[in-house]
Amino acid sequence: MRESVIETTDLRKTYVMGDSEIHALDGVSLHVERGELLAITGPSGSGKSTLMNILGCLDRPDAGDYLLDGEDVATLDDNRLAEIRNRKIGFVFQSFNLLPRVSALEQVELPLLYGGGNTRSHSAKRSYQGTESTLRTGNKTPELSGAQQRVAVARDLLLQRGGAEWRNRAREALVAVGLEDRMSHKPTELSGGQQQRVAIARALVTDPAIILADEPTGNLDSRTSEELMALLLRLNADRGITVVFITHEEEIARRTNRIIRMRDGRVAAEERGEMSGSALSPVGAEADRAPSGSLRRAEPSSDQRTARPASRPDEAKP
Amino acid sequence: MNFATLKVAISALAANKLRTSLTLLGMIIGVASVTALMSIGRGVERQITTELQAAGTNVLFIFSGRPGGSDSDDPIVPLTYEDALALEELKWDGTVIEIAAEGSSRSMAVVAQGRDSQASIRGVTASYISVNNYELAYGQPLTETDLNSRALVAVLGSNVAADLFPIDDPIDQNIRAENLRLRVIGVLEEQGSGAFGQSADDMVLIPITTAHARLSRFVTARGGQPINTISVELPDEREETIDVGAAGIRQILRERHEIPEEEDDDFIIMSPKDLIEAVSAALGVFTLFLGAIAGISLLVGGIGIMNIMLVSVTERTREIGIRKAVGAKRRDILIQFLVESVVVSVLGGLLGILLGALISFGIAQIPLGDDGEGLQTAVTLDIVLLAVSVAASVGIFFGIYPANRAARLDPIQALRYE
Ligand SMILES: Nc1ncnc2c1ncn2[C@@H]1O[C@H](COP(=O)(O)OP(=O)(O)OP(=O)(O)O)[C@@H](O)[C@H]1O
Ligand SMILES: [Mg+2]
Repeated sequence: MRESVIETTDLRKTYVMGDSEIHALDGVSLHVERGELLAITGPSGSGKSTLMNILGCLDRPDAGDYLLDGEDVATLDDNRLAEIRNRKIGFVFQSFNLLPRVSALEQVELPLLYGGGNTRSHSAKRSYQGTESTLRTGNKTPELSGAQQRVAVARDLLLQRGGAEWRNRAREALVAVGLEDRMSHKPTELSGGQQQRVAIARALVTDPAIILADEPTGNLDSRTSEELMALLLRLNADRGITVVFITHEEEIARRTNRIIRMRDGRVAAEERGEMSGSALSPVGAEADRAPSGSLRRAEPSSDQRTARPASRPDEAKP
Repeated sequence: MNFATLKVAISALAANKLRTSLTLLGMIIGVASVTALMSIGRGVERQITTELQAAGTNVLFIFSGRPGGSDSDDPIVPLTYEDALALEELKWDGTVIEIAAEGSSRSMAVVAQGRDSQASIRGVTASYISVNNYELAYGQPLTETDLNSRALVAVLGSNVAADLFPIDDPIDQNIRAENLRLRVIGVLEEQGSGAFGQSADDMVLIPITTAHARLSRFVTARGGQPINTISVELPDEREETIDVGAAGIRQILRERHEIPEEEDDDFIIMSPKDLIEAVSAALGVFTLFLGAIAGISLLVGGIGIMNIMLVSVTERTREIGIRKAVGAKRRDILIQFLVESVVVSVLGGLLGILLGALISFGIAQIPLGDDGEGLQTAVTLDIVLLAVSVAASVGIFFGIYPANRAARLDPIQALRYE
């Protein structure tokens, strides 16, 4: 049996406006399995964003249970929720939500900065395992013994490599989204598609269990949307990161394992996507499917496009 | 907090240079006025203390009155010339070296050769000049003989001498004060402004016996000749010497004033140390008071910081939402904004100290009085530390509310903020 990352039961969220009540979520029960690629669609106002914000621990439900990675999120305080957002979730917004006047590299470093001690021991864990395996650790992180971890953390502290380590990881994430030559650019110096790539790199950098994207291509033209979706799909396929996204485009929604259709705050229908066969194969098969090494090598054709965004005149303008 | 937080704060401040500089200016003015005013206070304090020390720290002053803390309402026996004479016995074993008495001074016009000068005539004993560390510019001091014979002689303060005898040698010239004709036998060195109001430069010193016989024939109930102050010179300025001297004086005066065992003294013995301590305590309060007045402008600067931080929090609501979405905790946001306001206030504080030191230096250059010297000012380390720590506290105090407001924002609402 596959492990589930998200498990909600009967989530409810009601907004009171004057004397009318809006049931933005009216009993949503949802299971998302590790490594799954899931699309949420539905008419405007059906509660997709409300659901996504709750899944992303940005908001709390009024009622219902939510188990994220086995942890009961409903009972957590604000600080623990912040930690969860930091370590387990990567959120991609329709409006990019990058910090103004901050370079791409620093945008991506931001979650590491707030990870503090946890990130450090986490990074120690990673470097202990060696860089070769880092790309594939999203699925199952082999537990280190306490002593091994302490040694790794102490070594990191001694070498004062927190900052450099963060920088390297941020670079790695930007390379993974094809922005290796845009690292010092600020949001105003990037096209919309590039900005959203930075946002994806930022979501990716902490090696989260799950990436949530609320209409990530809603503000982009169709060609750029196509590229970004390809990127998200690849992250799911190659790294095994669970990806849940909202989209209005039926064609994009189909290229997933599963489609959830919402209506009036409820899950109205659930369909299998085109990828449903492969995704529901046993875990062991995934390692064969995911090529080792960098993502860019995995898909040379898209690599050529993403590696040189400046050569594309339509992308150079915001 | 770490280096990254500081960097974020500085780049946020740099993003709004005009606004940041105006806020800084508020802090700078506040801290500069605190620094400048306190440095003036501290300078005055030093000047007065130095003058007191110049009078010699091995001198005790005795005057009538109840010591602090006494609630006795028995009548006070006034100090008399005879009291001063009785203290002479302390000279035998070397407990004290010299005793001087001064009567109350009277301000009157002194005339000579058609010129006149407003002076204060004071009856003193022969030892008065030496005990008070005054120097004679020329001529002779008053002598015991002058005292015994109630001689009509005078020693002039330098201002009086300059007024009456701008060209001529004053020695052996006659001067007149009311119905008194006096012969000048000496002139004092210029002393500068005195620590206790009146300067010796404006005095005319005559034998205390003469003053009693010719100016005020008033006697006390016990038939004594009233005086103002007795000054007693001690062999040195060690604590024991002062204590032994004071004890001897006390015993004699209590006996003479017939004060019962359980009663308080009816005179006060003050050592220059006590005096310096009392005066500098009072001046310290004065300095702090000046600082507090200037502190009002610091308060205004702090309100400026708070105002700007509130605007900044509102403007950056979305940024706060983004930071929270990627895992910033309340504390992270709180510290980020707090560091920002403390950076402004401490930077303003440091620049303000510089400006305040410049102002205080400028004030010291303005000539005051006739000696052409300016007011001494002193920017001391404690003023600098006070200014910096007050500035930092202002930053924290006025930054905490806006920072807290930022920290408590709900991530979803912050992200939706337009
Ligand atoms: N803060 C709020 N206050 C009041 N009502 C709200 C609030 N947020 C959402 N709603 C309401 O909840 C319902 C669901 O909103 P939600 O944003 O989840 O829709 P959505 O499915 O994401 O729509 P879209 O496709 O247009 O983004 C809507 O009817 C909306 O008006
Ligand atoms: Mg929405």
